Amino acid sequence: MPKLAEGALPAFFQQAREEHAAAARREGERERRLRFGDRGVRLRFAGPALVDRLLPALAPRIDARPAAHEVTAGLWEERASPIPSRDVPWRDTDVGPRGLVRAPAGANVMAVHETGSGAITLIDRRARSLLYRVPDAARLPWWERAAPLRPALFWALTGEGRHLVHAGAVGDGERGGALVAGAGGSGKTTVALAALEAGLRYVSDDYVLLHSQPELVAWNLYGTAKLDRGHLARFPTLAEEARVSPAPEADEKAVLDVAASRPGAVAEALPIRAVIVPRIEGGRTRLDRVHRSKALLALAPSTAFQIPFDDGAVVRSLATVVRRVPCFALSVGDRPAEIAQAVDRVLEISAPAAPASTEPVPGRAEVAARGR
Amino acid sequence: MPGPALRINEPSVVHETIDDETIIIHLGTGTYYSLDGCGAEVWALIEAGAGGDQIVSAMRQSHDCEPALVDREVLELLDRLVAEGVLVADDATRPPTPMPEPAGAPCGGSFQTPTLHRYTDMQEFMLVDPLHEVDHQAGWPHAQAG
Repeated sequence: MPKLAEGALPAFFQQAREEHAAAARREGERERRLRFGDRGVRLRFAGPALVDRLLPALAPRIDARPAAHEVTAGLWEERASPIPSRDVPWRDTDVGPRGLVRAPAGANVMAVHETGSGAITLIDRRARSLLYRVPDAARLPWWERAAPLRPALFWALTGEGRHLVHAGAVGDGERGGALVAGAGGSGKTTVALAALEAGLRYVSDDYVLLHSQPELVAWNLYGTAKLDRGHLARFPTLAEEARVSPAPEADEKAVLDVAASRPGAVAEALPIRAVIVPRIEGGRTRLDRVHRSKALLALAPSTAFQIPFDDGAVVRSLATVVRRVPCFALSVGDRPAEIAQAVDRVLEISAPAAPASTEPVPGRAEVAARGR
Repeated sequence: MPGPALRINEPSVVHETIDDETIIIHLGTGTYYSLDGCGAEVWALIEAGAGGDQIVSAMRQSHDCEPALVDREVLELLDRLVAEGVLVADDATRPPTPMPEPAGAPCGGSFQTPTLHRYTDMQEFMLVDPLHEVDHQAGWPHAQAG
């Protein structure tokens, strides 16, 4: 199998940057900033189309202030650029797991070619610069609108002690939060929605940015929740607020804009005091302690398999998480109120007995203030 | 498996041992595993650089059990880990290594069959975006034909 030629990705990145610049000149550039604590992404959109499609899910994170550590991303749709888009220099066989294009060892430029959406994310590691190209913003699939820019955010925001994690998180500013861990279909969204409906703060139903040093803190990424038919039936009030496509795509879920529907409900970040491993079982909701290894089994594989650039470092971080906080198995029953009570019980059990310590933890005061 | 050196197939394989259970994730295949019984003890010996002979010998010494049973169970586990691509032969030439001390606590005097549980429910992540199913008509990714 011939390898992708040395220099092919840097050359493609340069061409793509020219395409973006040309699109921005023609369509007008719109700049927005996303902020996640001291990390940020400066988004330079060519034209309005992608702003309208990508930013609603990221609305809680829009912040005009530049972050201390910022990555710049150029975003455009092929149809908006006066320069014809170049064919990608890789072949199907060059694309590995999670869409990561197999680059020569030590390559400075990386590429992720996502399935279905046709989205290409290009990363210049040295310049800390990103490019994101889609064929047509109007044809962006629902999942990309509901949880956009995942590879770009994965790369821009992760680092030593910071990882994107496939887990939900809910809680409150007084007691902190719980990570809700598990693969798709395990009940993460059900637990997060039950907690939201009961008045707890919502960080996410599926992806969080987890800081593990010095304190465990889950940061919000997206202000959305994705509801399948079961959720719509179980949470009729939230279902009324969710956006259901009149012509749904295959497997399309309804999207609840939590930030818009429940102002103040989205917490920017919560300190993590526990891990909940849900399992949809019906009947009465039941809460039990679970071995830390089982919590790691719920957290680690579904996270590791979704992150293109991580090489498993996240697994070590998640192991420290389950060693540091109590872990619970939540048998998810039929009644949302019982589910929320179980989450509340977890927070009661797991909250620190004493008020927040005075140890100098960077960002802690900010987290606590914003979590209320 | 007489005694060839084995090594964990890193970086494709990532692993953590916690509560005497080892979680193993093969990033290349989308398969993950949990290893219980005395498996975490065997894994610690593998991590420490022990060959097949050394692992068997160490496990015999640390457990009050019929040696033939220990041999069979441990060798079966090693064979399976090799077959799964979790372990690979370590061809590097090294001076003979002393018997490594296992990093983890032994699972007690009694020998409990090391059991490898295999999970394949996330292999879809190797092929598709996390939130949707692949379009089998269009296929993916939509790159130039090669």
